[in-house]
Amino acid sequence: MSLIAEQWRQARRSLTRIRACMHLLALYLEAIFIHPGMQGKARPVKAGESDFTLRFWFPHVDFTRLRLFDPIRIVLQALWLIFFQQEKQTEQSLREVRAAKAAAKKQRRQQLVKASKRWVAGQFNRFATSKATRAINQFGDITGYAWLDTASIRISLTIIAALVVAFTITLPMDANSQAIMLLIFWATALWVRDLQKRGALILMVVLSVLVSSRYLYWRVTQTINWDVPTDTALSLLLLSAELYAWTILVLGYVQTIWPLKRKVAQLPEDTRQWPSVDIFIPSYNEPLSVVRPTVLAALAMDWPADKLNIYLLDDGRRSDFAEFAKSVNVGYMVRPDNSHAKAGNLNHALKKTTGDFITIFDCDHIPTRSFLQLSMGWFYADKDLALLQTPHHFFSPDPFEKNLTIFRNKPNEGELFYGLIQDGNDMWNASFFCGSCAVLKRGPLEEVGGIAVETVTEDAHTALKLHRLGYSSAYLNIPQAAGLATESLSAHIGQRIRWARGMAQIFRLDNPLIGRGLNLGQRICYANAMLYFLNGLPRIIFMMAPLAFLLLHSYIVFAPAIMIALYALPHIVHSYLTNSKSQGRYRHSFWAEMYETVLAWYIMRPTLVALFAPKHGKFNVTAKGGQTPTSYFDWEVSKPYIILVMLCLIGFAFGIWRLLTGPSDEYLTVALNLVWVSYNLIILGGAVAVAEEAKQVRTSNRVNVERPISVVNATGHSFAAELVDYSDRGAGIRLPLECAVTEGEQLNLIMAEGPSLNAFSVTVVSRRGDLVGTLFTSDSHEAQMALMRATFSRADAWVGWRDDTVVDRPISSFREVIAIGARGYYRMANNLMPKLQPIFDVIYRMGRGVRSLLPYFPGEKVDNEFLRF
Amino acid sequence: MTASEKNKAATVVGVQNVFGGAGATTIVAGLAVALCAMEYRAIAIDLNRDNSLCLHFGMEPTDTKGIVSALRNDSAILDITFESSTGYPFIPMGMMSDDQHIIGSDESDMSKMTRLFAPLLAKQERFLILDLPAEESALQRWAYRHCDIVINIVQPEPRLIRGLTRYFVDTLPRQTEAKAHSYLLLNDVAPQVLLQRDSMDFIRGQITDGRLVPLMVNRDQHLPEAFAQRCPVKIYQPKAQAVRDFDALALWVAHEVAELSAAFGEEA
Repeated sequence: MSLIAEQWRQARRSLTRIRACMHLLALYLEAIFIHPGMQGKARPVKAGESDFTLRFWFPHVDFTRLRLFDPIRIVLQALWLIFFQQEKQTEQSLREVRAAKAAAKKQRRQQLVKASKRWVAGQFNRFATSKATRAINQFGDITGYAWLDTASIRISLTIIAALVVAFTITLPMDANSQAIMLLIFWATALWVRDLQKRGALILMVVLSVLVSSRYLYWRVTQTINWDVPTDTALSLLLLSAELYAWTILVLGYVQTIWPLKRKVAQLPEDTRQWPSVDIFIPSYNEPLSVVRPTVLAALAMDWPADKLNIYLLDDGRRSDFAEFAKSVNVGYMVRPDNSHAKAGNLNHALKKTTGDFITIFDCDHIPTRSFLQLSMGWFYADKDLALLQTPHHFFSPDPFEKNLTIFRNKPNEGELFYGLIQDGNDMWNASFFCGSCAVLKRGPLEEVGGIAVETVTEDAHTALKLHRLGYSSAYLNIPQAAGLATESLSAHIGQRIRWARGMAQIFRLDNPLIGRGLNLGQRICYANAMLYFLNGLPRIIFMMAPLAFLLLHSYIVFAPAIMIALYALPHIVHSYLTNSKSQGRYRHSFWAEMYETVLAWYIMRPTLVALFAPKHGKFNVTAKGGQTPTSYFDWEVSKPYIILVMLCLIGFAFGIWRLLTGPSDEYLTVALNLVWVSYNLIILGGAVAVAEEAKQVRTSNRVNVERPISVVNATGHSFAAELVDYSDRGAGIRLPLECAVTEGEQLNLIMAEGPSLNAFSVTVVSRRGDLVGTLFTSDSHEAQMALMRATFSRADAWVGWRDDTVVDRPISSFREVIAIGARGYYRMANNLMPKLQPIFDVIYRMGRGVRSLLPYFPGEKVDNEFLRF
Repeated sequence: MTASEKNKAATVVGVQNVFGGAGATTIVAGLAVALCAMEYRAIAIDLNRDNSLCLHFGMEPTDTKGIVSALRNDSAILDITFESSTGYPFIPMGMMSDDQHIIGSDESDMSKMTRLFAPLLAKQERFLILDLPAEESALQRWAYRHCDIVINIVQPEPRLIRGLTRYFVDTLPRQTEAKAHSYLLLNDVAPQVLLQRDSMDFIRGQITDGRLVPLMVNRDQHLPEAFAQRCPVKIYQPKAQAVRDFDALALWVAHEVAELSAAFGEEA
């Protein structure tokens, strides 16, 4: 008691009675729930640390000055921590987690759960977790089981496994058994989720496939209402969409289960043995300013000059291109017509050149100087290799990143394909050509008749033909070239439509599932790539599905709501968990939904046309390198989504009406459908948010770096500076204020170019504090090439841009997508009815207010103006 | 530190010009200051007759105390260890107006030198940066015997051709024989000058066996200005490129020394 009295006296010295009460209450709460040190491991609490620790677990509550709504916040946060606590993976905590053993983390989590329930039993706690952590650490370590790897054991294990799987999928269960089985699966998936061993991923894939197959089996056999024709029709429609989703899920797992992560292969020591390479740079209507850096970077490539031939293939037949090519001494080719667009252009050049290998770069993809030295080695290691592909890296933001301002702090849309999927394809020898940044061997290419012209995605089709002839392909996952992303949402969609149409055409004309020459892995990977683009119709079906019940009262899934929840929920949860584990670094959950939703409507028609009438379809070139002087809302593009949003809102309203007036045994069904509609609305909100095109005034895209350089002025004084950003025209530098510069002054920038230093003369354009904007004034081609080598063409220019520390956490992603959706609706409403902006403001602020009551992640930085209530 | 076969505990780094006026004294001053800023205990020591190293640290030109006077008067090393106003320690060569006897011309002085420097050499965790005489002499031989690393300074200009020849034919064998690791460092580099760029390309083509220090010291007008003000360039203009170059050099030296002592530890 005297301890409490002492603490009371101390608290009363600086706080009022009520505050002191709350302070002590908080202290004891913390001691009980967060420091189960009663078992003898009490940490010595330093002065003031208790406040800090509570601050960590309740970041949005200030315990010394409690506010009106704080009790609600405390209760919600405590419940959240007890039942759902996941750690927010900030960069720092991620490093700490990686440094500390998994045991410490598991121990803390388990302590929190057990301590709040049975904190007396701490000793038992420690014993149990030590066993569990040992099992966890050894999981997936199969080196001791190599003796099992014989053909007979493999076959028998496969048969046994197949039987067990078939049994698991088809076993009918009542609700309770189903619930228990799924809780066990869920717990297992969560248990292994953070392990870095491959076995963990395979286990999660198996669980997900089991659960999803079970769900689909149940759907097919038990949930279609054959009595009512409309119900049947709609039900079958939804079932076909789900069947598609299941197929893509399983094929996707197979495709990405074991990324090959190929390393660079050695070239022979003697450079005289290196082969000759032709570099093709095709162009049609792009301005010279876009193509020039690519040509100069190709000239600066590290390869014996007598073995390197560069050709500018100009389908626009422009005179300034011809002059430029002549002035830098590269080949310039034109042809009399423009048949078959880019493919025809390349084939024309193929006939006129003689290099052993062909490298193709899109006119805006600037290669690094090390491109050939890193890629060509594999052609020596593998005699059957016909194609080596490298990632397309973009140094400008794509429309999603631009409009949602997430450039470089979230993986962008292409990351999944170039970071994971192609790597996974490589394991199955199925990585395909992507049209640029790749090396092709001349012999095999001529054998298949050059680049394919039958479809609009000539690149994938060419690779398919090469694979059919038995050649292999490789993917080197090191970005060695970078280019411009599509400028606007409409251009982006146009590009994707072309790919989708092309893939559907290939599926019709040269189906990878039939025909000779491919092995099973290749068939699966190609099929997945093509089927992926058919996701337009299924996604629209999923968007409209809940409306079937809410608007038409049609039972498209003829089962009690509780069974639907028990079957569908695990299917969804497992697929999210597994995809998060396998793809987490390349795409964050729920963002995938948003990207695909944006494209879904537009891809639907071209792919269906291509599927049934593959010979139709034009080739449109995507626009690159323009200016958007003001922000605007792309109504044209977002019209279909606004219609969908309206439909969903009407459905939502109907749902509320049914809740209020309908029969009580339908409550759960209505609630389920309402949840589904809300989810659709959130994703659609994100899609609408992308339609608000952000401003872009600079025509030249800048690359952000932080590189130490030095600046020499006219008086010979050299200052230590940093290169903050650069483009092909100018650079932004951080210059110390001690170096006084005036506008128009000439400076020398000293930058590292390989192991040596090079100087570039610049003119000062502007100065704001310590940031100075400059324009390059070197005119000669040698100087420009040296500039390329020091900036875009540096071998390590694009290495390290994939931020490895930003790991996916589905709940975090979902919160972000909700926030984006809300913003999207706010902006759309403002654009639609600007006079009603004050009302929308109020609604938006109410949303923020509600958010301030909800739980936050421990240790998170909170910034919500409503926390003062 | 380096408990090498050289019977000392301190780390000794020697800096020498490959041809006259290549900038060894400036490098010694800058390197010592940079090491001090990295919390190493580094002392710059002048073994050149010019006695100009002390001017970098703010000593009065009329003050002639130094090694010469210490040897003459048999003083202790601490009597001639000075500190700049900002706390950087250094030992000047000193001058005697009536001294006909040039330090280092015969071996008898060298035992006195050893006695003088013994307390300093025996201290652990000290960096002694020596500004070495360019001409062969007993003093130079004495210094080589105590050096762990010798950095030979060269500038990318036409004089480097003769200088390099002399280095490879004469200096390098002597340094290697004295068991000092020998390196070449490019100083006063100005890439904006075409002749300099060509000379740099030439020298990089000639020296390919890792003997070239992987960094360069840029030409910087701040250096002569700081010298004129008699203060280290780090104090004169902390944002100068030269300061960054010296920091990089100090890092390289620390790393190189650590690698060498690790390699030596493995052999032993």
